[in-house]
Amino acid sequence: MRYAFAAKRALSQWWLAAAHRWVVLIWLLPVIAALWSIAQAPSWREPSLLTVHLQVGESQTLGRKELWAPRADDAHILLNHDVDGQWRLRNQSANKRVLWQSAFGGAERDIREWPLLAGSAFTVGGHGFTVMASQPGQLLLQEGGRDWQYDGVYLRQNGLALPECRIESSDSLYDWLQKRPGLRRPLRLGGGVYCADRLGLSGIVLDTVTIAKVGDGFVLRPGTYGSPESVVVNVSIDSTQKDSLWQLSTPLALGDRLIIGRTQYEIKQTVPVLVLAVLAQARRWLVQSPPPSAVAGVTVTWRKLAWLWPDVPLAWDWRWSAIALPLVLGLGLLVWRPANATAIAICQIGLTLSLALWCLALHFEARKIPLLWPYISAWPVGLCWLTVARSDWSRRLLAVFILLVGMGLVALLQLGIGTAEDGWQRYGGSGAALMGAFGWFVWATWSAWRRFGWPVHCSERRVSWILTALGVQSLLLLLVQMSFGDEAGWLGWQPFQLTQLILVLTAAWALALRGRSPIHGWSYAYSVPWLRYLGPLILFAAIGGFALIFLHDFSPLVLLGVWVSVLIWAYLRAHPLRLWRWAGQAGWLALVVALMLGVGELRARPDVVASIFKTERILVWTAPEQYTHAGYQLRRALEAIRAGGWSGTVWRQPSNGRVMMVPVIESDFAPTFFLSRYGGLAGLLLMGMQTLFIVLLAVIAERALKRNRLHDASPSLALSFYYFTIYGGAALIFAHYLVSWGTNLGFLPVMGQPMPLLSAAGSHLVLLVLPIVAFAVAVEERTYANSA
Amino acid sequence: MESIPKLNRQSLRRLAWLLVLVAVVASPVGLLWQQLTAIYAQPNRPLASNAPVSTRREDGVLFERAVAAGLLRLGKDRQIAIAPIDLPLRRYFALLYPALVVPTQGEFNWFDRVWDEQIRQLHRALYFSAAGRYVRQEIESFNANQQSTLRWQAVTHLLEVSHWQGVPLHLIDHKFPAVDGGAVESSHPLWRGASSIQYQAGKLLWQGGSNNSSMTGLPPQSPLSASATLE
Repeated sequence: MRYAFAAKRALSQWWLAAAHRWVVLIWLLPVIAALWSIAQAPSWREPSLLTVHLQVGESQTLGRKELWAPRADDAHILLNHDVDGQWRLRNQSANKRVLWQSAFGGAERDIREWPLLAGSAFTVGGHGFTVMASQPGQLLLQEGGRDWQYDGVYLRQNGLALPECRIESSDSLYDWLQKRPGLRRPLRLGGGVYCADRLGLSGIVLDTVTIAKVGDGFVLRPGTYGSPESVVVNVSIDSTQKDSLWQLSTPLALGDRLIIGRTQYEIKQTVPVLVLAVLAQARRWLVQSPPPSAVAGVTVTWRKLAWLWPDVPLAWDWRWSAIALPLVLGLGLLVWRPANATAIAICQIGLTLSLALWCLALHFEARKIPLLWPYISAWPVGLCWLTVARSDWSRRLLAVFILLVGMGLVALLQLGIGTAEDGWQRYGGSGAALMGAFGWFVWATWSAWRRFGWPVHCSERRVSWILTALGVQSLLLLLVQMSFGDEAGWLGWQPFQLTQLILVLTAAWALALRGRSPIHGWSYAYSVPWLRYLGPLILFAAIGGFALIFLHDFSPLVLLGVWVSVLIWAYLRAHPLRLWRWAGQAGWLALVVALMLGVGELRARPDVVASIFKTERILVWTAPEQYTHAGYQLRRALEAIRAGGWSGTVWRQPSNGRVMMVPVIESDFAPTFFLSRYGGLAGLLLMGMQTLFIVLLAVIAERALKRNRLHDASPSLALSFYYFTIYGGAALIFAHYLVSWGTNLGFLPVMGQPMPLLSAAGSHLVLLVLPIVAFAVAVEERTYANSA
Repeated sequence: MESIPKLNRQSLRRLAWLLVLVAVVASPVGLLWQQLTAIYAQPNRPLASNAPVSTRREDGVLFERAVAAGLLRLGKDRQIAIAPIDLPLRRYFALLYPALVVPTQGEFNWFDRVWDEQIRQLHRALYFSAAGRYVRQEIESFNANQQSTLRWQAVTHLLEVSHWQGVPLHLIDHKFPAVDGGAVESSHPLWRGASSIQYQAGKLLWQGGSNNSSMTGLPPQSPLSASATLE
């Protein structure tokens, strides 16, 4: 009773504290939209269990239809119930893989994978190989009187190292990339040359089969151009028995996991029938549509969409355990009923931290959890932040931010529930969970700081060191990605986004220091050494090089170009000398207008563009009609946008339909999804909100600068730093908006960049956008507090 | 009551600020509106620049250029061979490390043409572009159909029949049916269901002169593949 009373009193106090209740309405709008989406969602049924009935000695071919696997082939696997009662699986597809993972753990492996053990042999076409030795880090093959050694990276012929498989002359960066510590590259068999990672074979197409280092051993597996029809590949342990690599089968045991055409299964039962539990990425069936025709030998158990309660209990792992400590701490203190404020604060911080960790765990488990858990866990943090903000400007910024996030999450929710394939819901769930984790974590930190408020005295030297350390750390992360990750990131994250954030910070610091240069008149006492500018310049060069050499993508350079341009504007705008300020801004405007006109003019001259640029994306941009293949994405996107019209398709068609044909619809082409489903009018609203968001960030930056000018007598380095950081962050977000709209509508070449707060892009959200928003709010609150 | 000038100035500034804000927000919204209007107004074609439009498809152009550059060649077995993916590296290694080039047997001599930047780009497009992938797929499909056609011809010659399922067989015209580059399907009944690449491949085969006495109920170069699509 006492608790209920206390809770009621706390709630009423909170309500009174929320002086501007309109923010609650703003916060509720996306909730209403989400509820509407849920209410009109199609009634899907998902396959829960597949039961295969085969008599001993029988076999059956299964494919897309029987397995409810939308990306599988028509006849993808052959299941055999052999005379020993053992179930065996064989991949029948010409060029799609079947991955298998043992119940005892370990990595997933291709069914068509053959361990190369000493004494075994294999043939590719007419070429026979004998494995002479297979040791950790060293494989010795013999073929036609020649010895080949392979260590997982380099091939040697009779002990001699072979040159790299490339045409250009020595390039130290390339060489470093080839020697980087974590590098493993498969040895590709076939083709016409012997070089560092290719073993040429006469009459065999390059990459027919590959040899890869796995753990301490080596395996033979099909290559990109290998297929059962193209060439015979036999493997044998001894000379008596030969098996075709394409026809290898694997025994199935209880608890094993399979991935067939991206659909994931787990074996739940093997006697007397084989029962496969469908884990993810299965095809759904619409209840209103005709029931699926029965397939002989296979029965399906159906389940409804898991909105709030999981269909099967979730497995407990360390991620969930991490939540326990702060939760126990928080709840323990609550039960203990502490009298003093410190204990209450610790209790509150513990609970908030556990919420942050809970959201993080939801992000990692986004494929398996009920659909609404991440949204329910994350959304309240938005209201918390909205109600504690004191400054009108930060409250406005947060309100627009909440609306933009809400629009994005509702669109991603619709993407998940409107698609006839399980698995798409993870994009929205993961984004919501990450947002919640960030929001709750910052809330816990803020609460701790407010309660235990350690003084923050950052001297100029200390800030420089901190930024240098962050810069070095971000460069190291890029190196780690290049060494151990790939173009898609490292451990599911994109360190590149963090590097962009740190570039914004270091550039802001350099510009703030520049403001104290004697030539500006702000201070004649202190000269800025040019070395101070090296930090952002190094980061800029690293990002550019990383984008071009490692990612093979020029779009980050476009983003940085826009960012630099806006920073120049911000610098000129803040310039204390009137001539510089006005003439500079006028010159900047003229240059931007000229650039826009130039780009427009260039686009109208495909022949000129073709003579300058050889990049396919740019050629497509100038003449999309001539590039039916290279322009596929754009063509599909424009078709989907046209299909949506001004009002969108979501009102008349609950399922997503043909818009799902657009590649990367969840990230780079998320605006296409939004325009197609919600229509052009909603698109205009979205654009208006985005512009308002950028404007509000700029206003907050300007307010910080204005306060700086009030204290012109002793210019504050910190306030200049805030100004340039927020402007820089807003510029980068603006650049993303520009590039994303341009890509989706075709007025810029197609560039693979997500749209902030709309696309499913976790790293972009957590490592770039949310920190910028949090920083802007913190600065504005500080400005407000100081002015009050 | 007298007005307070300072307060009035303040409200005027606020009004001006609001007007600027509305203008700033309205500008991109207006641009988007204009762009969307243009997209909705063009139901059947991508949003293009004002540049003159060529009717040639990129895959057709690539096929023709690749044939001219010797990257696609007609074999004696009536199959079209594609230059190997590692041809540039083979050429490079042939100059610098000849011992590391795999000796070929019964393959085309891919080194017999001049290699320049244009051909290098064509080769790259053939393997690393969407159009190149499509061209290679269509050639594979064409080659597969050639094999089945050859098998079918062998059967008909063996049986010395003049009818096939009641349809009289006849020698095909010695003139290759001409069609527009992009509209193969509707232009000639023999090529219905074929893609432009398969049509061009058939033309290449015809020009190779190996089909003058082909028996046909279907054209010998026809892809016979109803599943071949342009996408």
